[in-house]
Amino acid sequence: MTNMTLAHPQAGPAQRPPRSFWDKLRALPAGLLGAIGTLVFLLIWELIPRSGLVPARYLPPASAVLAEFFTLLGTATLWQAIGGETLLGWAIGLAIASVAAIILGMLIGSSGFLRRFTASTIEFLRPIPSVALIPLAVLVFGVKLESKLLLVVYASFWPVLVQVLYGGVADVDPVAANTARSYGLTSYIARLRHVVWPTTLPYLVTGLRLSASVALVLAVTAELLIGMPGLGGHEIARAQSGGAYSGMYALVLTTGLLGVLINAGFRFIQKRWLSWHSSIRSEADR
Amino acid sequence: MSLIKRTAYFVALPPLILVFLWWALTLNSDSFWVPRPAQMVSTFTEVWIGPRFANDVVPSLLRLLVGLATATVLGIGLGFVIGSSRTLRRLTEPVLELFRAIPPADSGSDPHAVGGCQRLDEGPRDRVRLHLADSAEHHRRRAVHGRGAR
Repeated sequence: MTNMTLAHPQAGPAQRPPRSFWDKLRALPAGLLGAIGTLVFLLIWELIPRSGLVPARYLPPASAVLAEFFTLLGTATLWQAIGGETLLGWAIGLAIASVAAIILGMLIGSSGFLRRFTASTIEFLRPIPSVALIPLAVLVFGVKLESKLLLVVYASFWPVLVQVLYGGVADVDPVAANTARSYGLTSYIARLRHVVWPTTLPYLVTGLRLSASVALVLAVTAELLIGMPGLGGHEIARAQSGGAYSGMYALVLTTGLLGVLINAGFRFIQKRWLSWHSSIRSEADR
Repeated sequence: MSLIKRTAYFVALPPLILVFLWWALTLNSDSFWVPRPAQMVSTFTEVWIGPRFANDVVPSLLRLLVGLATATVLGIGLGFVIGSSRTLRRLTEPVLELFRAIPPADSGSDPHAVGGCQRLDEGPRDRVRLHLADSAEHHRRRAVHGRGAR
C-alpha cells in the first residue's frame, strides 16, 4: 500500500483546492468541458427563439430541432439519402480524386523540371471554385451522379495533389536518399517504396483528410444547388420549401455530424498509419 | 534561376502549349461545349471592359471584400479569445467542430434562416453570398489559429 502511494506521488487530486467557479471549471476533464459547452450552446439556442429575439418560425428552438433529428434518424429515407446518395458520391469522387492526385503528384514531383513546368498551370487551376463548375456540370451531364462527381473530384483533387507534390515527393531528405542508395536500393520502385513513400505519407494523409471534408461539402452543395437526390438536394431543399424549418435544421445538423464523423475517422487513420511519425507523437497538424 | 528562365517555365505550358492545343483542336469544331479561344477572348474583354465589369465583377468583389473582412475580424477576435484559454478551448471545441463541418451552402441556400435581416437591407442573394464567404473564412481562421494555439 505504502509502495503504491510512493510510486504515484501525483496520482491524487491537485494540491491546491479549487476556489472560484472558474477554477472548478478548469479542473474538469476535457470531455466533460466539451459536453458543458455543448449544453450551454443548446440552451442559448433554445432561449433565442423562445424569448422572441428571432422568430421561432425561422429559428426553431433546439428542442424542436433535436426532436425532429431523432425522429429522422429512425426513418429509412434519411439513411437512403445519406448512404445511397450523399456518401456514395462522396466516396467515389474522393477515391477518383485521390488516386489521380497521388499518381500525378508522384510523377510530377519526382522531376524538378516537371514541377517547374506545371507550377503555373496548377496554380491557375487550383483556385477555381468547384461551385463555379455547376453550370458546366449540369450542361454536360445533366442531373446525374456524374455532375456531383465532377464537382467532388475537382474540389478534392487539389489538396491531395499539392500535399503529395510540394510537401511529399519534393521534400525527400537527401541524406535518406543517399543512404538508401549506398545500401543498394537502386531500383526506382524500391526507392519509391522505402524512401519516397514514407516521406510522402504524412502529407498525403493530411491532404486526404482535408479532401474528405471538402468532398462532403461539395457533395451536399451539388445536391442542393443542382437539385439532386441526397441529403442536400431532396431532403434539405424539400424541408425548406415545405416550410418545415425544424426538419431543415435537423438535416443541417445531420450534415454537420457527418462531417465531424468523417474528420474523426480520418484522424483515426492518421494516428494508425503514422504512429511512427513525430507529428503524431507531438500532436502537431491541427 | 534567372528571370528569363523562370518566365519561360511560367509561360511554357499554359499559354504556349495548352492554348495552342486548344486552338488547334477547335479549329474545325463547332462544339457547343468547347468554344474556340477567340470566342473566349472576346467574351473575356466583354466582361472585364464594359458595363458588365461594373454590374457583375465589382459587386462580386465587394461582397467578397465585406465577407472576408467580417470573417477576418470575427475569426481573429474569437480565435484570440478562445485560443488564449485552455478551458475556453475545451468548452467550445465540440460546437465549433460541428459548425466547421456544416457545408456553407446548407445555411446559405436557405433564404429564410438568414432572412430575418433579408428584408432590411440588401437583397437575399447578397446575404447568402456574404454568409458563404463569411463562414468559410471564419472556419479557416479558427483552424489556423487553433493550430497555432495548441
